[in-house]
Amino acid sequence: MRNTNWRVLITVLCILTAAAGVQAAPPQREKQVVYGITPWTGKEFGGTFAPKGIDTIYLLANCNNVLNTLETEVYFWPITNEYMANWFEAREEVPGRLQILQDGKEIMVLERQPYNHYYPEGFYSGFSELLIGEEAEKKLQEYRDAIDSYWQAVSEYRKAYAEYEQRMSEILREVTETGKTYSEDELPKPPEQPTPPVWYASQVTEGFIVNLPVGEYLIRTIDEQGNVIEGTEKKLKVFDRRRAGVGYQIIPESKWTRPVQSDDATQILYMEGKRTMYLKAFHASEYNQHDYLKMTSLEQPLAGEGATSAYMWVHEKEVPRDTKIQVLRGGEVIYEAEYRPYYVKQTPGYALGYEIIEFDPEAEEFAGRRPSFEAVKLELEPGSYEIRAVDSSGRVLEGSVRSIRAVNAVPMWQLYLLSLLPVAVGLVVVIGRRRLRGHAAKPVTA
Amino acid sequence: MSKIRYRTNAINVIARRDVSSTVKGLGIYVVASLAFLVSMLFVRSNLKGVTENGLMVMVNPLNYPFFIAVTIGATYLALTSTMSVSRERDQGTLEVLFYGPVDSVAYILAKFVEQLVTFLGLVVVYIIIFFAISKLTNFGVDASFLAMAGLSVLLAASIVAFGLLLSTWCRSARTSVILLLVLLVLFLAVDIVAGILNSLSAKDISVTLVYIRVAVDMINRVLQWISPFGYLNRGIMAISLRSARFILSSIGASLLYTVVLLALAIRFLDRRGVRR
Repeated sequence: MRNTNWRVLITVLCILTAAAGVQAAPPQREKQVVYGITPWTGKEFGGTFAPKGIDTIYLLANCNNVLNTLETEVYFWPITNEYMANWFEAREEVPGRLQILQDGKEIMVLERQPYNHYYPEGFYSGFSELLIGEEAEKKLQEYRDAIDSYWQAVSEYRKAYAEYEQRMSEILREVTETGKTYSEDELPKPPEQPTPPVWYASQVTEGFIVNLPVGEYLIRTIDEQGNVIEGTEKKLKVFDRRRAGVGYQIIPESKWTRPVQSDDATQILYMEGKRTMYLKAFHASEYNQHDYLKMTSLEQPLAGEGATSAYMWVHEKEVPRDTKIQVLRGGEVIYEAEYRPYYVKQTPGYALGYEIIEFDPEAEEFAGRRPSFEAVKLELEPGSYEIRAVDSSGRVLEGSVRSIRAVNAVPMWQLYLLSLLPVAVGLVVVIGRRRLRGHAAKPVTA
Repeated sequence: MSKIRYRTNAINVIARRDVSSTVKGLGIYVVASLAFLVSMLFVRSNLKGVTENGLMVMVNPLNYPFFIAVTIGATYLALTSTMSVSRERDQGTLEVLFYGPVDSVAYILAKFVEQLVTFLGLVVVYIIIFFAISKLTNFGVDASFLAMAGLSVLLAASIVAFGLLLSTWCRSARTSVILLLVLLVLFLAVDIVAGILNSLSAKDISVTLVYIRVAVDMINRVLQWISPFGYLNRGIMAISLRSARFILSSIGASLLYTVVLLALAIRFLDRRGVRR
């Protein structure tokens, strides 16, 4: 009996282990023809792809986007609910041209063009420009030259530094042996360390540069004979922003890590009492949430689903640093503030806290430090104000006007009392009518 | 007298009588106070939010409480018109009226005008009280609030027309009242849930919520042509986009919706007759 129990237990364990093994099996990979998509998202170039199961591609209108017909291995990753492509092991370009049709008529046929991404503020800043054709090759060559120059400078620096160290050792020995002193001017200056180029240009590759007006299209890849390559026909929806304006990121002095956002000009900033806040202004655009999320995350079948009637604001590019924020009261400009760097300084002691101070790069206390953020500081007394962003020429940026109001902390009983006003009036009306009726009903006595 | 003049006269007499009866009763005042009390809860919550957080960004915090007050007021008026049509039929008043110079068009329009006039009075009281609240709290009365007040008349017109349609379509007063309440609650619930789901960050939304959002979105897409709140939303959106074309088309659509409901109510009244 005891043996049988053990056998049953071992069998169950074996089944469970086998089942667990099945569960842990890698997802099935399938070779598919897909579109690699590099869409312009309004602030940067994204990266997604359209596998077999996805029939519509979404792109922004009137800007350059990159599509490429590729063959790769595709699998569905259930943990994150998205399609994945095995780009590292299997990535083959499908030769051909991209045919674009609208209402059944061919409107253009695109050839692959060389392109690359130029990151003026460095790769990790996210912002890049798309360079096409010769410009791409030229920028890549410039980057290679800059890197070569940098390594050349590094080599020269090492040599110079070695010479400097040798000279310093000699001086030190001389000082020790002879006791001769050197003034600061007589001492050799250390060589300056070269800095690598911040900007970056990616490798030149080829793709179809798609730039279309708003509309619905059909795309497919055709071979040299004009035959449609199987699995390349997709719908293409090109959409545009609904509104554009200026969005603000508002950093309250009391909670600097928890900024609030104001995107829509109909939004009002309410505050309680006197407040200090730091504002960062962005050019912002409002897009249909479904289309935008599909454009940026097409590999996720659930992205944007159910959001066809929702809209979202996207902060695109921060306004130039010479933009000023004007504060108005009763239509008059009472204050104008400009962008400045700020540093969040932790206050010592048991009580956790911080203070936000203006960052001065020349000051000794900030040596080796960088500003925590750059923003426009506003200190407002209780009242009602309007703010707006103005550019260097004094022009008010469209969609930048916002109202700021300080609320009054009213005791709630006052509001509830106000609510009872109609019923009080009703009682007066009803009682008045009854009295009138009573008077009218009184018998007339002689 | 021409038919139109007869009708105008009948509409005038019936509407005046009903408005007078509504104004002299306590019901409308109680409902107005109730609407304010409910909306004050939202005002309180917004006020508390600002005082606790120090800074808060929002669309005028009086808009939503005003919308709640308008919905309560308009629903009450739709209920009273629904009950009054059914009661007048049950008591034989309708039959007697129709022996005189009153027909289905005059009767339905009179009921509609009566409720609309009452609502206009109510909305004036609403604006006065909300103006007082805005002064007390400094929430402010901005263009979006005034636009909301203007659109609320269209919302009330469509809710009242919806109530009249149900009162002429249903067999009994009880059925029409229950149906009106159930449908209005459903329309409002879908509208609110869709709004909440759409405001959720797309990155944080779970798979289950995505499926719920898809279902609600599909229902909402159908309801936005049936529900009076759908027309209100279109109006609010058009105003926020500051597009004259959208504003005019949303007002036009709302008026058309009301006219269609009234036309259907007249047709149902004609088909059912005025006898008990």
